[in-house]
Amino acid sequence: MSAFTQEDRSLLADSINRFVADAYGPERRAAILTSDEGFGRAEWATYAELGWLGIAIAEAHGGSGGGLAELAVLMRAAGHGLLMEPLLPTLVQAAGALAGGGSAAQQAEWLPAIAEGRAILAFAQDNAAQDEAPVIAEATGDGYRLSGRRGFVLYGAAADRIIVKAERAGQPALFLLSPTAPGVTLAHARSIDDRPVSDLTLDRVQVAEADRLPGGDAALLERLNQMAALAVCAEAVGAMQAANRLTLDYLKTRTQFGTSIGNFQVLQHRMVDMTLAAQEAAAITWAAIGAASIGAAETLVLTAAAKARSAAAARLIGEQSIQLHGGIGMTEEYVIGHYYRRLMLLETLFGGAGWHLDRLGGWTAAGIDGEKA
Amino acid sequence: MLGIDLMRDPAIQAFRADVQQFCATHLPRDIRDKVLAGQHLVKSDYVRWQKILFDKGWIVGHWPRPYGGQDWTPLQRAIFDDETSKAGAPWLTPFGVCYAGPVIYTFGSQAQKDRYLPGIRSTDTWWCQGYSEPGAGSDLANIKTRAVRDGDHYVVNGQKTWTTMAQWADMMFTLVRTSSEGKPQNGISFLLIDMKTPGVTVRPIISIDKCHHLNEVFLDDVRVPAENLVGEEGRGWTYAKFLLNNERLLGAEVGKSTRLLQQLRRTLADIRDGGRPLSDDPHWRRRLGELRARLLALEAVCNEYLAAAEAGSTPGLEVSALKIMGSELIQGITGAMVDALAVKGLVYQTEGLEPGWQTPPVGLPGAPGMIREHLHDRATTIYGGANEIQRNILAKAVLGL
Repeated sequence: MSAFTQEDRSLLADSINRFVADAYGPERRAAILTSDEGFGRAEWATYAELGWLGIAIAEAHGGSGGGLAELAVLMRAAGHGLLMEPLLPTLVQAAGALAGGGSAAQQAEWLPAIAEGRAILAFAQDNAAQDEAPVIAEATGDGYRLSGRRGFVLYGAAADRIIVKAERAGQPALFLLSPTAPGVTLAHARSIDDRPVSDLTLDRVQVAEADRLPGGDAALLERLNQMAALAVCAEAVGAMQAANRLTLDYLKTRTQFGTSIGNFQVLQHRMVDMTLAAQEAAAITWAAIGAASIGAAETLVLTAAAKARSAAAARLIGEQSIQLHGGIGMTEEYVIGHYYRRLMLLETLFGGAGWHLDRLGGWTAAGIDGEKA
Repeated sequence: MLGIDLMRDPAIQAFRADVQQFCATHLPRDIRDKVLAGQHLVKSDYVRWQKILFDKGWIVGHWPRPYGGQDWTPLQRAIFDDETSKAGAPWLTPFGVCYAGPVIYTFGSQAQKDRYLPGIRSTDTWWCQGYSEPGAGSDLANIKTRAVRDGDHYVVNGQKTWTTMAQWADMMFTLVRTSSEGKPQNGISFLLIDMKTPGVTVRPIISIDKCHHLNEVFLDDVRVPAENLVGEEGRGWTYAKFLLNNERLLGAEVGKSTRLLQQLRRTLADIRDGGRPLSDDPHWRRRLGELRARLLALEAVCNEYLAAAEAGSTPGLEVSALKIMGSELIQGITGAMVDALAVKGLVYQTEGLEPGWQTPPVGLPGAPGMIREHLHDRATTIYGGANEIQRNILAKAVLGL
């Protein structure tokens, strides 16, 4: 159970929203976007000071013992404020993998470092759950030799360690990889929402047995991806709520044909649909997170529903917020296009709508309500 | 005659074959490669292609013969447009040959025709369109840029925006307010402004695709010779509407959608998921089939309008249908492209938009061009009269609601 009360979560949300409003304004954000690293190191340190980086890390490792519900509060605010920092890979995926499958030594080394802001970790698997070209871990005398390629490693350039999914004796396994190890090549670019992202190539990289996560198995990966999918839903909810707010304000203030354009019924109905979409996505997201937090059987179907509905909402809201803004929505200088691109990316992470709907449809057809088939 | 029958007419088929053949032999490969890869074109790319068309006599094929045209019918023009687009030719920048030129030869003075039409035909003069303003988008009649007569000049003050390719322009045709009396439409005049005139400032607008196509144009005490007024003072709105009517039959952009659908098809074959190409996936096949069906239907709708025009009828406001269907189809296709790319993660490596870029790409080859196209094409339902406005037109003018 989480050590946080509902009130704690409200306070956390208030504190993050205040930080975003005070210290993460358009000018600062623009500077971060054009910086080499593409995220704010100073901000990362501040997040550590404010305790955000440890919210879901056990107290024994210097965190405050929260869980997915608290991470979701943080991720929603990250979506709302379009934060650029590596919260998702470090806090949700890497810390989640270490807490759920790491050895005591790995946990003791990395979880406090994450909570204190001393380490950034990335996570390298295939974008969706399908493993197209696995990284192969070949056993050597005292460890493994890793070879293969992983695309779309978010924040790979900044990572102190990358947790790599690989295939070991036909089974998935997770390894803590130093990006400076011989045989590791990273090619850097930006994602559609301006985040640093890398292609990772491993050419016979030596990894010690001590760097394998002993509990890094298929079940852990399934849980992690489910948790990450919900964290992404929460981030999308924050972004959608912010985009809707901006669009609604614009409808009220933009004047054409002698009246505010919000007086045109077609735009009113569009805005209502966008509001309903965000409401629905938020409700199913919090429901799924609630179920996941107590390990309820229906978590699986709720997660698939949350990802599918938030993806549909993200598309509607992203596209229509630009449409309703007209030309100004097409400019890089104005923030609504950044929300659009962020929502485009979130839609695709940890399975797009189609992937989740296939699963949900399959379970539904088989009469499975909650527990896994 | 049905549109589909008209397309089988031997003369029409021969014309189509001519355009295809010409593109195959005369469209420079480097330019075509850039277009197909969605990379940045520079001004000289556009100019080079337009001069090739000029030498052939096709750049202004739709103009009347006395002005150097070929008297093309709307159908011939549509075929030319579709086939050049399909072949990977650059966007035929319309500001001179489709907008300024026809207004000048229809409403301009002899002096204006002599002075401006040769440069428009040869693309030695680059034109841009000074219509939209910060307060006048959908409500274009609300323009505030003022032109006040002062002796044999107009003094122009105001701001234009969303001015495509103004950074390259020599001239701008501009809607300005010469009177505030009566209906807003009645006080608008059509003025030609030399971009080198003191007081003209062009400021770039970077769009969400990270590219620079758009600009703001500031006009501060710009002195424009009164002889640059086209036609009569206060009739600018009428001329602008004439121009829109000319362009409506091309609003569907069938050629571009055809090219993009080909690209989507290749992309689905290239991207593998779960051990097989996306094009083997029944979901993707259905989606591709639906887009193809929409394209074929759009082409059929276009052909009906073109057949009517061929039979002598002037297209009316119902042609707004083409803008709606065409723009929404383009967005459907580019949206599918991005969904396909997303299987491997949405990397937007803008360096990949630069021609000659050699570094192996991060993510999928070809992704930058497709993502750029998708982001850029969010504007297709906004510009040229937002689709909401087009639907209002149909509701009022066609359905009588």
